[in-house]
Amino acid sequence: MEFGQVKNIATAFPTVRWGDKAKKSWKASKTFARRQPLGAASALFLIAMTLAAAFPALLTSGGPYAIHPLESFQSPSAHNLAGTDQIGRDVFTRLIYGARISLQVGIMTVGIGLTTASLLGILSGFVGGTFDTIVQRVSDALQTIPGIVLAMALVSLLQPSLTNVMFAISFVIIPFNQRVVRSAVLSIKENPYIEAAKVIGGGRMRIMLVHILPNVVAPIIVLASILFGFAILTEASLSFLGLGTPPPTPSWGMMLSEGRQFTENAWWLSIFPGLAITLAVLAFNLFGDALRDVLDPRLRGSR
Amino acid sequence: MSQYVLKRVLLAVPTLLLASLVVFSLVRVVPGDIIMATLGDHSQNVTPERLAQLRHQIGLDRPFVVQYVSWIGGVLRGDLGNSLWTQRPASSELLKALPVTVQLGVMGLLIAWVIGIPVGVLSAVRSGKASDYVGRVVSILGIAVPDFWIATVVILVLSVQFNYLPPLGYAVLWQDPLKSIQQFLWPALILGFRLSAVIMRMTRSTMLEVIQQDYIRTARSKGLSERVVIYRHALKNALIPVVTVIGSQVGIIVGGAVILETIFSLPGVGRLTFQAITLRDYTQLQANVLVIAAMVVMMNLVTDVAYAWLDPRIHYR
Amino acid sequence: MRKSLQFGVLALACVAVAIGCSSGSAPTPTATPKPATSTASPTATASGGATVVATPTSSSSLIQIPADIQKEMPLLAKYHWSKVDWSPANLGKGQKTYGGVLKMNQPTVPTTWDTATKFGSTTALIDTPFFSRLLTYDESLTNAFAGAGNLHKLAFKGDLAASWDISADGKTYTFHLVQGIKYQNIPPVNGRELTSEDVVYNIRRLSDGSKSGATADIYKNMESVEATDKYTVVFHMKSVDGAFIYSIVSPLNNFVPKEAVDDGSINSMPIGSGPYIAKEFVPNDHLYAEKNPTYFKAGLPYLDRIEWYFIPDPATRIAAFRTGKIDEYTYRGWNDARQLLDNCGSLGCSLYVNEQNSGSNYYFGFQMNKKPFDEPRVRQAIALSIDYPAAITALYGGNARVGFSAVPSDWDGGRMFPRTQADAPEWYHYNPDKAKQLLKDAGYAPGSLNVNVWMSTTTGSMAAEPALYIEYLKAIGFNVTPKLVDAATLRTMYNSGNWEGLLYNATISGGSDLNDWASIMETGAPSNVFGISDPKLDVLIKAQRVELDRTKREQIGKQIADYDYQNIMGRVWLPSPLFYHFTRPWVQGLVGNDVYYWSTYWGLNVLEDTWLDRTRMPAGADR
Repeated sequence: MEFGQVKNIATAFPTVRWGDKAKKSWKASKTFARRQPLGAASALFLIAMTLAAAFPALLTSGGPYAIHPLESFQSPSAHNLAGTDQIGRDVFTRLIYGARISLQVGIMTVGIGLTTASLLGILSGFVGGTFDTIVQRVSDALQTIPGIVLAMALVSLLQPSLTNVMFAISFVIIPFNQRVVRSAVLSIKENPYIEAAKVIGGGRMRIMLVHILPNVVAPIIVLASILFGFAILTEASLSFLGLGTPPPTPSWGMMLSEGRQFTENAWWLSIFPGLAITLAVLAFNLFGDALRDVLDPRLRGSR
Repeated sequence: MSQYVLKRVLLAVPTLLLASLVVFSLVRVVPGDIIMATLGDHSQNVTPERLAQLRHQIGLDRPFVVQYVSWIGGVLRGDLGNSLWTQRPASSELLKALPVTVQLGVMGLLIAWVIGIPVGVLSAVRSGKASDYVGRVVSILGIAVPDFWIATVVILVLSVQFNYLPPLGYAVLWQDPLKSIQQFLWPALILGFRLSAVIMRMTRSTMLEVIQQDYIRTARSKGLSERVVIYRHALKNALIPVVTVIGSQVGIIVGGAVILETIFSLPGVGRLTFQAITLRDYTQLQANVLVIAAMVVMMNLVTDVAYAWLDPRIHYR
Repeated sequence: MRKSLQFGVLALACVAVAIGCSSGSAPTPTATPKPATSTASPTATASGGATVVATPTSSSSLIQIPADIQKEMPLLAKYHWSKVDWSPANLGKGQKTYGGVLKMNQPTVPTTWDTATKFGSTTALIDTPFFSRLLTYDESLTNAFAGAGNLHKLAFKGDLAASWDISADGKTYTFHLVQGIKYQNIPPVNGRELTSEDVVYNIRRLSDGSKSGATADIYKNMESVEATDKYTVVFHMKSVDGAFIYSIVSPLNNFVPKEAVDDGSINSMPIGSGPYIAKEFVPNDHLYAEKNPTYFKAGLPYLDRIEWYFIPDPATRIAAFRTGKIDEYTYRGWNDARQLLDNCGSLGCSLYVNEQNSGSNYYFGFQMNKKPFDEPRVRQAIALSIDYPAAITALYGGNARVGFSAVPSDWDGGRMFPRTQADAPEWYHYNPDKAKQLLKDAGYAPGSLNVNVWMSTTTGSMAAEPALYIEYLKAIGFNVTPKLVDAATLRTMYNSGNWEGLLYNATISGGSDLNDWASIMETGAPSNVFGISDPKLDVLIKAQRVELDRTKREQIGKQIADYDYQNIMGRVWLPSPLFYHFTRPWVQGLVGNDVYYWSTYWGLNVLEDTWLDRTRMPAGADR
């Protein structure tokens, strides 16, 4: 279905015919790799990261909590690929398990935060009226508080824990993201096709699901990829401020925050987690960029 | 236009009220309060009766609504309350801290523009080629690398390799400009690097759009050199939307300030806010959030107006 | 036009970078100077050819470091204060020189300069240079070397008080003030004389419970205070109080002028009768002070100027010391110390190490009257589960006390050196099998004991210790749930005396007197948050409180310490890291009694005795 020359991401996203998808996906991947080398490389990295997070035992032994206090501060060696930390835990193992934590934080942020934001945005944009006004006013108000300040206050209030950190970050991203989704909805909503569908007798629910939703999926996917990176970074910043996932949980942010004080004596304690965070965030963002390019070439590199 | 500005200013009021209410509620639901935090060393010698007395003196035992209303009343009179920690007016603490963060933000933004715009232009002009990819990766690095990490490494390298550290003891910019610039340079560089990511991407995308416009084709066909086309015609128009981005960057600036001010020992609003949160200094926190929120609202309005002024195609109702 | 604008911005940036990198870019320091040490033989300082009589050999060899200290705490032995290469003038041989600037790290920011207010305790960390009080701590290297032996023994001397007597029945204290003391010559006091009226005014404020959260306790036994003449102050006590004279030494008792309280100026600047006058105070950033030319102690102070800088980030603090931005670095924390031991910067440094009582005596605290901690075998099992030497090696590079006792060393029978593992009862010697056996005997099968461990987080740097100890606990069969809360919440929990499980915490002393430490274990005391109720212990605690003789109090202190160590009253003691004082080689007389307080110079008037030895200062040091 074409929606005419509307200057909007929604327009370029073709209707998905699920049947052909499987056949085309391999070909599509190859094309993707050719056209978006950075995006493809990032995708590979992310796949590797996800596999590592899903099957950590394959790459490591002993688990992230096994302490060997008498082997603390060992520099990287064949036995400890990334050295050991201040109480002898193997850094490489903790990095791998940390991937899981990072992904969890990202998934939760996207899963809860972005979903809520999307639902809010869709509802708000579609329903309009007073509901829309109220939601937007509240969202504006929340957006005036810098995200990290709000997250700090929330975690401080709820006490630092992995769950609370995830919740805080999810909450903080809602206002901005619901606005993005809403604007996508608004632009589709004006379209005469929707008016026609209403006239024909399509219920609002049906219109939302069948027509609106597929066309906001694109921006949501792009947002999701960027939010993953944002979540990982915010968790790291909160850890630095003492409000992150508490030890001994092997989150990269906490590892970096603790390892910071040993940068001089034991560089591996901060370099590796820092590198992990940087690469992950980089990969998520580059992948998101590539997705956006694929979904609408006109928006290449925007926002 | 002035009608629009007025409307926006009026709208700001409920927005700020709401924001302040959110923070007000958040901090009061917490166990452990400022009395505990500050008695710290001696709290074990203090009896519950004395604790209650001290709480009463600060007014922490009044009902929530009463506390909020009385605070709002004060704000309308220009009194943001007294910091529970220092007993001094929260507004005076803020006034001392604001110039620091503003200076950090302005220097950071300048550096972000110096880095972001050229890289964005380059990326757009050579879109699809190697320098485009390099530019994009470098700019994303700006947001991908945790800033407290870079800051630590910078301090370590500076102190160990070069025996250098930015001078201690905050110097006001116009009283001792040399010392002040030295103090702010490195944190501003780190902040600027982070901010430049957004600027770069914005510049790149608007440049790409503009380059494809008809009038650029016309300029080229007139025989003008590529350089003139890009800089005199394209960039001028491409920069307009970039201006609007400043408003949204205030959030990053304040967020970055919290970390950078701690590491580089600058007595700014970020550090003040972090301290207020950990100490449960409600009044200071509320005052800080209110003022920051007001600045965000104002910045947004200013950039929107600037946008309209710069681009004659934009009209606000 | 665009182009030139861009060029201009770029040029500006280059200039800024050039400015930023220009100053202080000395080449990489060459040989990293090791901290100055001296062995038993005295050193002669080379000061332009003049021969200086070396310190008597006898003084430093008077202080023998016991073998088990050398074994268990090698850095304490190597860098003991008696081994430091002090300038002979500190020990009475030669002249101390005047002048110069000292740059210090400011540990916290005082919220007000008036100690008799709610939050006055933050003031006490930094107020002694500006204020005076009746008595002050006596840290004299001369005395210590001359035979008193222990630099860190809690001794005091008169500050405003020239002399004092205690009546025979112990209920009347008479203080005779020094005559002719002048307040600093700044508004609103403008150099007027300080008399007994001022002292009485301050004592009345400090003892007023409605004003002050922290100091009123010191005076709870005081019936009344009066000024009998211009230079005499008399205290009448309700009952005999052995702790009183030590308590009023606390820097919380600093005296402020009435005028500054009335016009509120005391809230923003320190105005008192002390050796330094505050010139510039930017809270959260810096504090500058200059010599008080009309200070009542003749010949003091030596320094012209002191600059304090508040540096919140630990890594930046170390960098500041290394690059010569501050001249002293005193912190517990092996990690920081280790970095400075490797490289303390091109200006060199001097080091001494001591034990610390406050802020670094970690423990697992629990409620004695709740299950399962009411069962001695459970408490013993906890202590037995920890491998102290291994933990100390892993966490502190082998430099920590194996565990504390509930009473500071110099009250613990007047010890000069801390207790070692050789002194510890069997519970503090690692034996996990025995621990498991004890738990089984007490009826707890392995895996059946669920326990929370509450701890607070600062900026993530406390993680290693509790994580390690928790592993030890798990290894003997506890199901441990770590609970991380922030510092304010932990303090609230602590004060409520009502937590489930173990609380991982460090002692913060309420004062330097034995009573402050001992009363934590007294039945029904407000500071007793561990539910301790032991009649035998109560007898001892009450006895020390009414005992005025120092030596006898020390003996009772030892008994209390023994009792606690043996019976594990409310706390299982964990290793306590040592405290490291790094200063520039030329800074003299800056010794700290951080044995009691986590801030080195709490309550000490050392800064009036601090001086700079220019013969040890490299050219260009700019002090």
